[in-house]
Order: sequence, then structure tokens, then C-alpha cells
Amino acid sequence: MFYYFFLNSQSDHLKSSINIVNHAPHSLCDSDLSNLHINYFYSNGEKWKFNYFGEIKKNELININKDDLGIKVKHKSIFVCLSEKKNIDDDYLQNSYKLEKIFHPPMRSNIKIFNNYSAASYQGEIPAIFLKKKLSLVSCSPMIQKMKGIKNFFYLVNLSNSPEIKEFKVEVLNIEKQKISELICTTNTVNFFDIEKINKTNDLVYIFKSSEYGGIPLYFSVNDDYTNMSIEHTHPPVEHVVFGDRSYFQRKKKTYWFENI
Amino acid sequence: MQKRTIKRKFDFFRNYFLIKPTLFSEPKINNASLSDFFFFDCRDGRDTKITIFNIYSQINPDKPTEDEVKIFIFDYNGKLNKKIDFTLKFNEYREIIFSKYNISNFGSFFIFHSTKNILDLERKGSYPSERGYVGYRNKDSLWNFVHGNRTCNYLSNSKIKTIMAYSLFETIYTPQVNFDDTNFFKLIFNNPLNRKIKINIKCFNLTNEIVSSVKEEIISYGTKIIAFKNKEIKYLKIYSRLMFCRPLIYKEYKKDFDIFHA
Repeated sequence: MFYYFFLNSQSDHLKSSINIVNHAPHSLCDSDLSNLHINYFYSNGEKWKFNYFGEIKKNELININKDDLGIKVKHKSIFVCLSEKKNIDDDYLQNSYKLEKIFHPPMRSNIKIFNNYSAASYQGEIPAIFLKKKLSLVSCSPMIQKMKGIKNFFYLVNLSNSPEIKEFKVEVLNIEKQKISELICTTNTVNFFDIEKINKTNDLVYIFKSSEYGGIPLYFSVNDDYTNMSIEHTHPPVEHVVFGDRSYFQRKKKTYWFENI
Repeated sequence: MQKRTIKRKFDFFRNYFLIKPTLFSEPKINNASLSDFFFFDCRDGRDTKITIFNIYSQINPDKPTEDEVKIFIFDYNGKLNKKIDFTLKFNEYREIIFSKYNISNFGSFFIFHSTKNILDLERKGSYPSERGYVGYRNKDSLWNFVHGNRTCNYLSNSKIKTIMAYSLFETIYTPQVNFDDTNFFKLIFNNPLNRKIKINIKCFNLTNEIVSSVKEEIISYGTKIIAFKNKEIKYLKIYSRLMFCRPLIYKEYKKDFDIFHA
């Protein structure tokens, strides 16, 4: 099964939504479709708190605004699960990778941040296998913008199968491997940082890295009056190669960036 | 080598007759470098940019090497408009802003990398692939970024070849997104094949009725922008013999636009 998330924001000018889609992305995997259930959940540091949202029928499409979930979860990192089982629990989360169906290409959601004037979105998901894996992070981004009046933010979305909320470090480097800054993230969180301080250097490319934990890195830019915005993720290093032993090259890149000068 | 040739032929028949298709087949040469077919738009004050890295620094950073970059820019009619060549040193990158190269109108481009050094790629059966992050903007706005849409082509003896699968039968691609949050959206298609492709788009409302239907042809290396002004459209399906016919989606809002791949 796949997991999705809402993009939190520190500003009341911005809202967050996701499209949950129960269409096969490709006719080659049409036969895999069935009615599914939507649950949303968050961690309180000790336990997962699950909530049932509703059913999505085969070939149906639902848009969920984070505001629809109520004030109680407004400031929490909310994850959403699309599953065949109505009520999910800790056990389901820990074993969900075993239940994951093979969709090709994967079932994605439009994850969006918006207001009355504009929107920025990307097609994404958290594959269930990520919850079980020990992830790390190397994200090289040319998407941080330098123009006057533009604010830049870094998201790191981490979800694991244990509800523990643990701190971990993300270092920000330039291409010469010089450390520019350090961010403290937490597990099972939609981490969100204003990176104004980092962006005072002359670099056009920044490397965000962590050998402790990983997640989905996203780069969000917005203008002063919130009418103009952009969001996109960076690829995992494995995407730089196709066919053959791709993970070999991912290891090479991570080793290079994790080594000190 | 012979094994690979047999596999390629086998994959071709699997894809052509839709028998456990693979969507992509391996390049015919061992040292190929692949690229997405990226969209650009420089019409009416719009602009496009991409930051190109030395790709070998990203793949084999323990073997520092130079990267010879070739950019092939095609206009929307599929005509080669411009070629840009340069060399990047280890860990070097270059920002290409299209308006600075006197490029106008819209179309699509490839970025191919090559190196004289022998790296681990051939030994591991892998190929470098340019997936890039392209920024689009209207005059004076911020850059709206989206990464490449699909790995699709490679360069072989100065000729551009594809790894995309083409079938005898139509398949359907359904973008996993709703369209009823905007009054105006566009689908952007480009054709990475060396033959013409036909696409048929059917748009549906909330009750799964067809409310709009469009048929188009795209010539080889051409780019087509198809606009929709219909608030009733909830979702759509794309029918094509190009097996992974995934468009870029452009949605217009009151003061800005959103662009992402389907």
C-alpha cells in the first residue's frame, strides 16, 4: 500500500490538500483495482493515532483538505494510508510492505499547497517499503531561489513503522563539501524549515545530507504576497542511472557525501 | 553481448504485442547516455531554465572525470533548432537559461552526457540518465520547478534513438489528479519516437460521463500543448500506442500557474 502526507505550513495564507485516486494509472494494471479505505494517522511519540476517513470506490477520486480533518490535527504531521483493510493498527503499519501491491507505475497522489490565488503541487507517495528500510539522505538541489522577495523552505518527510519521535541531524553543504548549516529534524514528521539563513551564500546548489535517517526532500519557494509558488522533490541518487546495478552507484554517491574532507 | 541483443528483441515483441510489457527496452549500445525529453517555453515573456551537473560526479564521484554535455533543442515542429555543447569539470554545474540563448517559442530538448574515461557503468550494466529539474516562469515570477517526465532517448553515433515502448495496440494512461480546481488547464505532450504518434484524450465529469474528447497527432520530436477550458472535467484518460504517454500538466490559477508531471 501507499502512504501520502499533508504539507504543513507556518503561514495561515497557505492550505494543504491531497487527491486520493483509485484509478489505475495505466490500463496494464487495471485488473488490480478494488474498493479501498482511507485512514489518516499521526504519532504522539509513543503510539500511532489512527482515524478512519472513509471508503474510496474503484475508479473514484477524492480531494481531502487538511482543514477538513479538524482543528485537533491542524498542527500535527498527518499521514494518509490507502488500504484494503478498513481499520489499520500498529501491526498493519509494521507489516504493510508485505501487503503492498505492485502497481506500475505506482499509485500517486497530487500533494498540494494552495490558497485562493495560486497552487503548487507534485505527484508523490511514500512507498510502504520505506517504512521498514533504514534510510539516509543525499539531496542535491538547484531549486533554491535567490530573487528578492522570495522565501525558500525545505521539507523532509519522514515516516517509519515505529511511532517513536527521534531527533536527527541534516547537514547542509555546498558543492565543495563545506558545511553551511545544520537542521534538526524528527522522525515520523513532515519537517519544515525556513532556509533564509542558508540562502545567504553565493551557491546555486546545496546538498542536504543525513546518514542517520532519510525521507522525501522537497523544496518550496513562495513570494511575499503568497501569489506565486513552486514545489518539487529531488530524485534519490539511484535515479541518475538506469538498468543494471543501480544501487551500486547510489552507494558510491552516498559514500562520497558522507565522508568528511 | 549476444544475450543483450536477444533480450532487446524479446522485449520489443513483448511490448509490441503487450505480453508482459516492459515499457522501456535497453539501449542498443553499451556506453549510451540517456535523457528525458524536457519541455521548454519561451513564448510571450515566459522563460525556462535547467541546471546541468557533471553527471559522472553524481554517479562515480570516486573517479573524478570531465563530462562532455550536448544539448539538442527541438522546436514544436520537431525541427532541430539549436545545439549547445560544453564540458563540465568534476562537480561543476551550469545553469542554462533559454532566453539567453535567443531561443523563442516552445519545444523540447535532450541533454546527453559522455566521458572519455572508463567508469564502472559498463561493468555494472548501467547507463547515466539526465532527469533534471526544469524551471518555468512568466515574466518576473519565481521559477516553478518540475523534474524530467521520463527517461526516453540516447545518442548513438550522433543519432538519437529511443528506449520507449510502442505497441500494436492502444494503452490508456490516467493521470492521478483531479482537474476541477481550475477553469483552465493544459496537457503538454512531446514525442520522443522517430515516428508520428496519435493520442486520443477523453475527459470525464464527476459521474464518469465523457464531457470532452480530443484527437491529436504529434510528429517525431514535436511538442503539442492541448488546452482545456471546462470546469466540468474531473479526470481524463489518454489513449495511445506509445505505451507510457505521460504528459506534463499545467494548471492556471487566479495569479499564477502550477506545472507538474502526471
